[in-house]
Amino acid sequence: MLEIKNLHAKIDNNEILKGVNLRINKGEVHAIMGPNGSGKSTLANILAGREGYEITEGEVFYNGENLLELSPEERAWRGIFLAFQYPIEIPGVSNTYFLKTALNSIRKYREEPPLDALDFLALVKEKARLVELDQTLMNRPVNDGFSGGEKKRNEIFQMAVLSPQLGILDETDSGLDIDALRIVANGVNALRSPERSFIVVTHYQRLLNYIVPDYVHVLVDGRIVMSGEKDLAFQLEEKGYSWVENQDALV
Amino acid sequence: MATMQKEEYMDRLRSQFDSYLSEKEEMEPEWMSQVRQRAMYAFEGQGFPTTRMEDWRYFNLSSLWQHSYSFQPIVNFNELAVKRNDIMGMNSACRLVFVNGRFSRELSSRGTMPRNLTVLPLSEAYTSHKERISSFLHNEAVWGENSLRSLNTAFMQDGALISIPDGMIVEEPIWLVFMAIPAEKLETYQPRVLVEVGENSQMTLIESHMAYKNGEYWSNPMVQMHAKQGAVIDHCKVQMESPHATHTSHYHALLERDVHFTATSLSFGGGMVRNDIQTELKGQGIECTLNGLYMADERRLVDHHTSIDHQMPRCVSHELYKGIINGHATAVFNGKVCVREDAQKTDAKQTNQNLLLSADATVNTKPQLEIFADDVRCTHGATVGQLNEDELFYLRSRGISKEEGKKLLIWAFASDIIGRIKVDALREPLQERVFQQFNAGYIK
Ligand SMILES: Nc1ncnc2c1ncn2[C@@H]1O[C@H](COP(=O)(O)OP(=O)(O)OP(=O)(O)O)[C@@H](O)[C@H]1O
Ligand SMILES: [Mg+2]
Repeated sequence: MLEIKNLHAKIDNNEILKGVNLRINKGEVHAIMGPNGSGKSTLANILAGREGYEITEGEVFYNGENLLELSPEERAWRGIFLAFQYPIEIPGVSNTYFLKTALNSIRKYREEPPLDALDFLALVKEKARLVELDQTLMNRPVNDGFSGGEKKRNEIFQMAVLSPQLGILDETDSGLDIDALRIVANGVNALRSPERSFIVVTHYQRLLNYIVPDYVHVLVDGRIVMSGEKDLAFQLEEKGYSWVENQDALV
Repeated sequence: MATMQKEEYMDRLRSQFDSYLSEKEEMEPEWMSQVRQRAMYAFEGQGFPTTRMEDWRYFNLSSLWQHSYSFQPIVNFNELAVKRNDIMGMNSACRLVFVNGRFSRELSSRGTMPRNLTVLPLSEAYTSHKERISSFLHNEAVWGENSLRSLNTAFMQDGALISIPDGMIVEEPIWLVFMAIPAEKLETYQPRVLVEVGENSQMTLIESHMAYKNGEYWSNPMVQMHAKQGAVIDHCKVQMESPHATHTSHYHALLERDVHFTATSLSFGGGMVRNDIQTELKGQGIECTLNGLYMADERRLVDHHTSIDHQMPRCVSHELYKGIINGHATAVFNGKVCVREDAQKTDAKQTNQNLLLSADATVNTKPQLEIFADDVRCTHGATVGQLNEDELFYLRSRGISKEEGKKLLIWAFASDIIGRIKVDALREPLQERVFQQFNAGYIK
């Protein structure tokens, strides 16, 4: 489904990604771990189409299409969803209006008729229950004044409503208390299907107890320096990233 | 069109005035011609404002005298044929409609307003309401304050007199519709509105300036408001003139103690637009709110000069003006707040926020605070910024197109003002109208 080949990216002339290779098949969950500043969010943002990065080398294919040539909305229409590490507040735009516009834009691309107000409301109710999101938040402006945890839940809630093919979760677990973590993880698990893949960026093995990944990758200084199965996360938690850096030669 | 020298223009204007006056003298009382003559005389002394004057730095009026506008607009149309339902206010229960500055009886309606409430065209009120009208029009300090006000006073073709008795709560809004049907020849419309609101009375006044079709003209309306003790007033002005029109408007509000006054200026049309809003807070405990939203694109100019004069203690003023500027357009905001020596415990807050949608758009924003009292709270803040890229990316990452996302963000910015409009019959069509403007290529 997704193939990243030798991806190099710069911001303001600083090379952040230095040759990332990653292949994700349908239905797989890949965890990406790595120290602060190693480029995890950069990778996630580039996949979602954020501007401001200079791709100096490499390619990304998504279902056979050159992903890097598509605008952010074109990627969303094709099923890419990024749950932001820091969700953006948009005062003045109501959550309901925002989400309905988003959903109907995606449905239009899929050649599905727009959802009317009633059907949309029913969908919102169902998905809000999934992540136990307080429904009154729907009447407020997007993320405006939401608590950290509410923002993260809202991201997963949006993902549930938009039902993407590839969900990219950038540190969705950070800032969540233990109950919220379980709720959010259950929400993600409910979305798991043989047709849907996930990239889960996290610092903590804890999340991976709930969302069990098929693969774990370690990103250090703009490169995936180690990949393995879910036990790799345990080893990392125990030994820290310095252990990986010392193993560098083995990769 | 050949351009003229100023002197030549003044000579021609004088002869236009003389013939206009002799026409008016047949219909109006003697004291009215005296007012007109005094005003014309004042104008001749003042001349048109020039960009050398600080208040007019960004507003070049030279085209107004280089091309001579006729002060006697031709009104030859079938009134019922121009009654268009899409013209805002045309279906409101109580409305006075003016076409090219002149009152249209056919298009107007009194609705169910109580008998003791006056809503009349000025032209029909000079005799019956002499005292009221003359007390406004003899106030030379107000109309002589700048030359365009003098000009309006000299040439006013018609206008409205609204007078609400003490203690009356008027539920229905009173709507003043100024419609322009531009002619071949350049014309100028000079309507005058006089409003007196009695003690503890409440009223909503809506003023809309619309073009029936596109064309060039100059409208120079002036409104004088006198709010007596404890009155509650909500005044909205919607400016949707033709894209080639010049609109210079003057508003003077005199507020007595405990008045709650809200004036909202919504400025969307016109080629060159100037809105002057002047309030005098003459009593204690007044709450004065000035809100505004202005939009300009292409090479248009929209200029707001507001003034809040705190003369007495314990008054509150809030001012929030927002602008959306695109293309090569220019916006000017000058917000003056004066707190006089006696105005202790004044609480004044002014905010001006501008959204620039293109690199060639310009905003000149200037707060002007003159504070002579010591126990006061005055704040002001101005921002000029672009659309927030992070917000736009967030919307796009959810599948909302770039164009749609921009619209949504601009809408959010504008709706902060539009959402404050209390009259549904104004707010709802306005929301639609602003969206239309977005869709008509305002946002690319
Ligand atoms: N706009 C920017 N301008 C300059 N440098 C940037 C910019 N954005 C990110 N960087 C730098 O790129 C590097 C990678 O940042 P990134 O956010 O991808 O790290 P991360 O792996 O997600 O870290 P964390 O675990 O702290 O979230 C950092 O050194 C960061 O300072
Ligand atoms: Mg990060």
